[in-house]
Amino acid sequence: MLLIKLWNFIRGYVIILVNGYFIERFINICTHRNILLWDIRRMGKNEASMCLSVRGFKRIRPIVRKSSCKVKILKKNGLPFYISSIIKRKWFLVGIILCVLFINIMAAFVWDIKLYDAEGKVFSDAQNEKIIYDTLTQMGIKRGIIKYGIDLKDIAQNLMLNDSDLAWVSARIMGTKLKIEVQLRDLPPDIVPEDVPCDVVAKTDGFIELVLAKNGTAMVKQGETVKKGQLLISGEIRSKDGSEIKYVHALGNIYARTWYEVNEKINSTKVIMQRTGNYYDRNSIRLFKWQIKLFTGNEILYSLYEVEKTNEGSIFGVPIGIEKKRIYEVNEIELAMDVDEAVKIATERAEAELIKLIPENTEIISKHHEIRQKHSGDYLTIMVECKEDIAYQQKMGGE
Amino acid sequence: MEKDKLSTRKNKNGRLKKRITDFFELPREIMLNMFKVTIVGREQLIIENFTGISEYDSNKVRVNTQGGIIEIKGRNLVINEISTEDILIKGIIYSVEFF
Repeated sequence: MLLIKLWNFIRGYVIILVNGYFIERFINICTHRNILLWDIRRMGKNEASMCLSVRGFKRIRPIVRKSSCKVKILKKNGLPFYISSIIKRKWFLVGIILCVLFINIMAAFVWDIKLYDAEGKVFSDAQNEKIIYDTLTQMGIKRGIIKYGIDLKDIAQNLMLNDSDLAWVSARIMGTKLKIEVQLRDLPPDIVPEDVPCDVVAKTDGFIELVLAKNGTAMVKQGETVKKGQLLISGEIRSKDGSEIKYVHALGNIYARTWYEVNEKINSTKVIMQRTGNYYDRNSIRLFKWQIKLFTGNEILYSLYEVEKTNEGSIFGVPIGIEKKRIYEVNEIELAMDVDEAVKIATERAEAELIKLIPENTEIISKHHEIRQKHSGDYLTIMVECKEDIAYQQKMGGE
Repeated sequence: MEKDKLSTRKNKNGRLKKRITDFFELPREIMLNMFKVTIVGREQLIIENFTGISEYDSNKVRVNTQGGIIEIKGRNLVINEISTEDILIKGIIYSVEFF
């Protein structure tokens, strides 16, 4: 039965309404002539609806006349009718095909090139970034090229060749995005080659605690104060009578006390941007590099404002779409802070500064916090006393 | 006279046929051209070997067969399928009568 129904659906069938006094006669003649009927339903006193195949429908005309009935088509069902209705709406079909084609074509391009470091974070090293992007442009890889022809191995190799800072590069295509992951090499410090004569000078000012000269002539003694750049161990070795001079690769460790100082102003007030509650929306259409305004007048009407993007206006990184911005009016409000909080904030800033200032491998001996009052305000001073190796090799010849 | 003869012969023939089918336990609806009514629950009824329908309404269906008329009474009766051999009636059946 299901098979028959399926077959009928494939071949197409019609639901007809038979009107007349001799519907039974109509049905009988149909069955006798091998026209299959199904779903016969009494609709009213003289009416009945029934289904029959398209082939059968073509043969019922004499039967209709014989049984003096009237036949009306209620509905055409089945695959042939669906197909013809689809053909009638051919532009709809064309639209679907075009849409699929469009998506496929758009997906064949690289729309975005992104750099990541090995941990998967966005890579940010202006110098290397520039080299990488320059290399890519040289290779002809930029936004909008077809992704199938790209040789990823070639990209990685070229990047490695052009940028010596890179230790490892991988290039991958993810959808329409070219993802380049790089790992920067940890650069070794500038070391004077061992066979080149050199001096050892002071890296910073300091008070010398220990002199360990392994090669060369020590020029300073314990307890001396040295300035930055002062000669500590000379590469010149004179013979006892002073007539011969031999140049060596001076080497040694000079441990000294060093001091670092950071001054930070203590602000007793902090400025807070507070929204006044006034805002308006600015929408615009983004289409690659073009931006079509959907508003009139200036984009910004307030002197102090905050912009919040409520809609990025990009689809999977492709800048197409409606960009929605909400612009809030803000007021600067100065809030008074209590002293503890102010000091705390200043300390945090000063500590951050110190971390930048103090070189690695430094032993911190003591730290002094001091608050000084000047006419321009209160200042926090942090003095750090350290012990570090201030030896620094420098080529001879006054460089 | 001749007509009479023919009918007796036909009768004889029929009786013989009946005896054979009884003896071999052959299906009667095929051998003797009898109708067969199958009722599933009270909502489906199939009649095999029918000759035509004489009346169809949503409350009443009368079906002609070689062995007489079958009248089905019920509610919401629908002829689900009709072909030369069988008819399938669906709906809520109240009674099946033979005339």
